[in-house]
Amino acid sequence: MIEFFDKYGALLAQGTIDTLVMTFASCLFAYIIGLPLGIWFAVTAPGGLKPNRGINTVLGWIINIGRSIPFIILLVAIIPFTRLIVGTSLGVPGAVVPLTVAAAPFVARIVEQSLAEVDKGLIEAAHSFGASNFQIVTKVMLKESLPSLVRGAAITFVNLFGYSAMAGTVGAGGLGDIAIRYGYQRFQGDVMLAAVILCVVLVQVFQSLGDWLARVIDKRS
Amino acid sequence: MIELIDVGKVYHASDGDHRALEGVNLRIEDGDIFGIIGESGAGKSTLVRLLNLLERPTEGRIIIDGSDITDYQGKELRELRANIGMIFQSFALFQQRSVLQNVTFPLEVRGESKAASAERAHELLRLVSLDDKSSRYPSELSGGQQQRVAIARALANSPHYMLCDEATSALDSRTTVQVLDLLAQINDELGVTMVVITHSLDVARRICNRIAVIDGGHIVEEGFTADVFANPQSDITRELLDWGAPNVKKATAPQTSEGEEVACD
Repeated sequence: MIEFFDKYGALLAQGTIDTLVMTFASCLFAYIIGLPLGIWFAVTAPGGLKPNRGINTVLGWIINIGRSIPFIILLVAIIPFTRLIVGTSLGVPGAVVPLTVAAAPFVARIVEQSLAEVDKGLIEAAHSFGASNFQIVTKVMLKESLPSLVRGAAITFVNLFGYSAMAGTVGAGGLGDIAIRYGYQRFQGDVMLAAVILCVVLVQVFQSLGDWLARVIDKRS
Repeated sequence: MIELIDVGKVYHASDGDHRALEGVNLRIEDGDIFGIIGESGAGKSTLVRLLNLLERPTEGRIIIDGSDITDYQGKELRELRANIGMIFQSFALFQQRSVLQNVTFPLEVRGESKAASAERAHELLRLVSLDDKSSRYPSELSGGQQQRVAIARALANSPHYMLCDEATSALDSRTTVQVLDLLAQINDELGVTMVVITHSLDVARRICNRIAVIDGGHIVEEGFTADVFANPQSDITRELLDWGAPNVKKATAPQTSEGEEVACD
């Protein structure tokens, strides 16, 4: 056991760091793009704050197309775009771009769903007190749906954690890459097992953290 | 004073037009507690939403304090709404905001300072006897307490008018009486003119000085509450009175017991 960690400890530690950096960075950027997109999608929906069938339909297409492309295809297909943004298609930066592109439409969709759950009566009440549409979005819709948004963020994080395993394809490293390289290609079952266990533990930790946070900030119970 | 002149409302839907209101003429004087009574679907909810333009009329004009507000937009509209408080059947309290933050909301959206808003909110919470609950959340309060918070919130901007949309319909009979008495007290002490939407004659009888009866999108009767009750002119009013009368025999009001009617279910 001690011998195993002497030999592979540094590798697994580096893998954990790479995975977490990729996941956190792409999660952050996916929200920077997906959150406004999701708000726009919810606001323009039929029966929304400012319904606009044209914009809503186009947004719906973009979001659905984005969500339907298999990640491994997307990863390769957007290499020129990735190079344009970060100057390389390799390593952690090379993986963060496709991870962000893959997750942003997903984020837009779950943000829209969280906002759609907000009681229409509250929006009507806010109108009746003279709130502007912008104030209704920030002070009512986002505030009232915050627990749901946090739960959505936890799901996004775990999804990206899983996707990041495929980032090994572009040499970004990470736990998934270690599991594939050592376990699948070199038949070193013990290294693969250690990497997979680390993945399971980390996912459990972050999902539980998300659930806990959502519960603590929710004032309904 | 609120005046409605030949007001109508038609909803356009894919399966054809639906007329909610037609030829409505009303005059609500300052200081009134004006009841608008009718059965569900009669158009009373639409009517009250026209007064602060949550719904836009498709015909006629709405005059408030001498100004034609029918086409108000943007800032002008938000200023108007600040002068018209509103409470709802479902209370419509923000669940993720504390009682205090609910009451400061209308002040916050108008850019009032935090300190001034909080001071005003505490003052209003004392008025509705809930200042001790200011740091609680709506889910921790009873229905009656929630509606009192909503009343405090509706008064935040010191409005001249207050719209009450079936405000007691979700409350039990004892709480209903408390909330109605509070509304009457606010009308009396602060001089807030009230428009009360209800399907319950007991609610109207208790607090309204004038009532209008609405049926099928038309006002069928209007007058002082006592006159309408003593001498109803329309069939629908007589029907409502039969159902609501406490001493009516079971035979004429088969599904409604006295207790249920008081509860305004």
